[in-house]
Amino acid sequence: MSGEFAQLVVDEAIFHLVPTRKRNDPTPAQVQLSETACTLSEDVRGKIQANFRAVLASHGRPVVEEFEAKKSTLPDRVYEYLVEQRALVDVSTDLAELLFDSQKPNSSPGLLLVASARLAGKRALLIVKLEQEGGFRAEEVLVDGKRTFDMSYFANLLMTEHNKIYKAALFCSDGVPEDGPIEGWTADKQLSGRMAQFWLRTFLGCRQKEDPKRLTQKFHEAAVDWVDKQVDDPEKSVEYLMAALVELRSNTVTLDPTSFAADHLDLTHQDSFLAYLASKGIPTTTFDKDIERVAPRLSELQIGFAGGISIIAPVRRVREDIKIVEHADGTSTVTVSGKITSTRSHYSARKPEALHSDGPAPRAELAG
Amino acid sequence: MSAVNDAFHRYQSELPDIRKAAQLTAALLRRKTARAHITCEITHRAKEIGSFVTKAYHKDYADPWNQISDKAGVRITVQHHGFLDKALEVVKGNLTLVADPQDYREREDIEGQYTLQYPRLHVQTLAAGDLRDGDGRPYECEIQIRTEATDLWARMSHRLLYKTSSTDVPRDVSRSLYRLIALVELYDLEVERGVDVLEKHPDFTRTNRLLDEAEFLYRTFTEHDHRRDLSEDVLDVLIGTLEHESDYANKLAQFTEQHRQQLEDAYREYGPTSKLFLTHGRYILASQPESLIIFERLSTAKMLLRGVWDDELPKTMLSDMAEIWSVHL
Repeated sequence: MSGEFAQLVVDEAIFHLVPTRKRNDPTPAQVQLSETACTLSEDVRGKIQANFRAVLASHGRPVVEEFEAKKSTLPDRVYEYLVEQRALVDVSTDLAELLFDSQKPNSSPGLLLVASARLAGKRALLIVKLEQEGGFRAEEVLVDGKRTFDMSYFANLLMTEHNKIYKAALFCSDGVPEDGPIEGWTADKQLSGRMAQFWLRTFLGCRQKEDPKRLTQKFHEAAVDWVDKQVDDPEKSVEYLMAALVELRSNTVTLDPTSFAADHLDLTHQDSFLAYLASKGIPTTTFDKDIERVAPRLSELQIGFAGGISIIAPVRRVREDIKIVEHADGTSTVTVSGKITSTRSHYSARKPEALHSDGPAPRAELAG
Repeated sequence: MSAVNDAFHRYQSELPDIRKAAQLTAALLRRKTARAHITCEITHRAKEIGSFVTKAYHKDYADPWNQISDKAGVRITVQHHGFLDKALEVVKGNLTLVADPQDYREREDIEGQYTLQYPRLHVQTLAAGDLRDGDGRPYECEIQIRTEATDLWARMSHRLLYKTSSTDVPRDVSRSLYRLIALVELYDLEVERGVDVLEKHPDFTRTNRLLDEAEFLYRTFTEHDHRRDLSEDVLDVLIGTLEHESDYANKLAQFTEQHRQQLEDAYREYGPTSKLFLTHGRYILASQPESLIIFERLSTAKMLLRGVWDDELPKTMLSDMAEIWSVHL
């Protein structure tokens, strides 16, 4: 399927300038409000639309209004627009004032873009905070009859190709129930880590719909399950599982399954992995990571054999101390290198008959 | 004279609708022939006012408005002889015929001998779009179906044989023009044979076949020309994502139908007639038939696509398409 934002159409837009709010400023800054929607040429409209399709596809996360602990009036303004109680210009000025009030003192100044849009034909509202940035333009000129390029500097560029600094939110009439919290999506390209709280909670008055602890747990379970069911090569299985555990244990505060697949899985496995995640309701785009529920499972890796033998190894030693060789008959030889320091009996909850299975035994070598 | 004068005025006032009727009919046939995998060009026209009046006088029609049946006309010019019957079936299957087709391709002459003649294949149908004339009757449209070679001969002979309406064409000129029909037949048969052989030849690569499939489907959205060299470069990369796909042509056709509206929107906003493409040269692949394969791959095998694309083609080309299709790469 194409992304859910492929049918996002931007119709009309209005910009307001939201300045920096300074502490103890004797003449407080004021929002510079536009009085009418701007003229969007066909190419500008199309490019804005494409940019936000992309940013929502890569960074968009479902959000839901914080209904019980109301922190912002934005959901009310969005509701009024989506049910056609108020018009774009009118609602957008309220949103600009709200953003100004929501920002911490000395936040970067920026432009608030509010756009009337449609998502799969349904009325929608796109809200974007943009920051201006600098850039050069080279233009061919003739100097004394000789061709050269003149450079010009522009300090007020918006949404340049590799711009990393904007925040966007999209609300659609589909996500506006009669008597419940409104739902939508938001993306924050400014931080590589978690979403800015002033944007999500103070301004949008929302929280992430999916609990990061639960999402992280689902990712862990799905990744382990996929390796177990879809990867035949035992060496690859261990490699992929190790990569997942290391990714979860890393210090990064977000997890992007698409980047994970690209960085750690063979090309022929990547689509299968992402499709499996999607089938389990796990986003394939960036989400906040919280390993609280899975932490105990991230330090050891278990390799099980049909004959009942299991090897449990600390994740940090697997790459160095364990070698797996696969054989044509489907069995594998696992070599564990190290000094044996103890041997003891081990409690198993398995049924007694499983312990006496006549199934094919692995050829295991414990060297050291 | 008043019948011609009345018809002239009526024709003048209804000409915009007649043009529209021809245009809608051509558009319908373009989509349908593309879906039937018929390689062809489809043109349309409303008869020029001068031509209408001239014909009305020349033929001495009592009721020129009703007797001139080619007021709206569509011409289907197929690549070779083998597509004629397929094109005729498309017309019969998608438009309402007003009369039996005029099919003179193998008509015998009086003595029962086959002679050299213009292989006329005309079909009179109701025009697509349900536009109606001043009397509330649907407009008709004359559909001509020809091969490229026949079209060349017909246009040339029309100028030489029929435009000199007041003068008899010398017999030797007339004979030599009809003698060319033999070459037209020969040409058509050789083209058909060549196309058949190429399709079965192992060196006629999968890339070419894949591009043909994509072109047929793409033509159901736009008639715009594309860059063949760019298509070949991109397909050489795309083919690397299709090694394990059996019957991909069918899969692509199904994908196109499932996403037709979304694709139409994408081509309108980012395709060959968009300002982003025409003014800024962006989204270049949305003006290429292989864009259909890219959208399909982005939907079902985006990581494989990304993997084979890197280091082979500019990343912007793919990221532009991913933007349109809202896919995170």
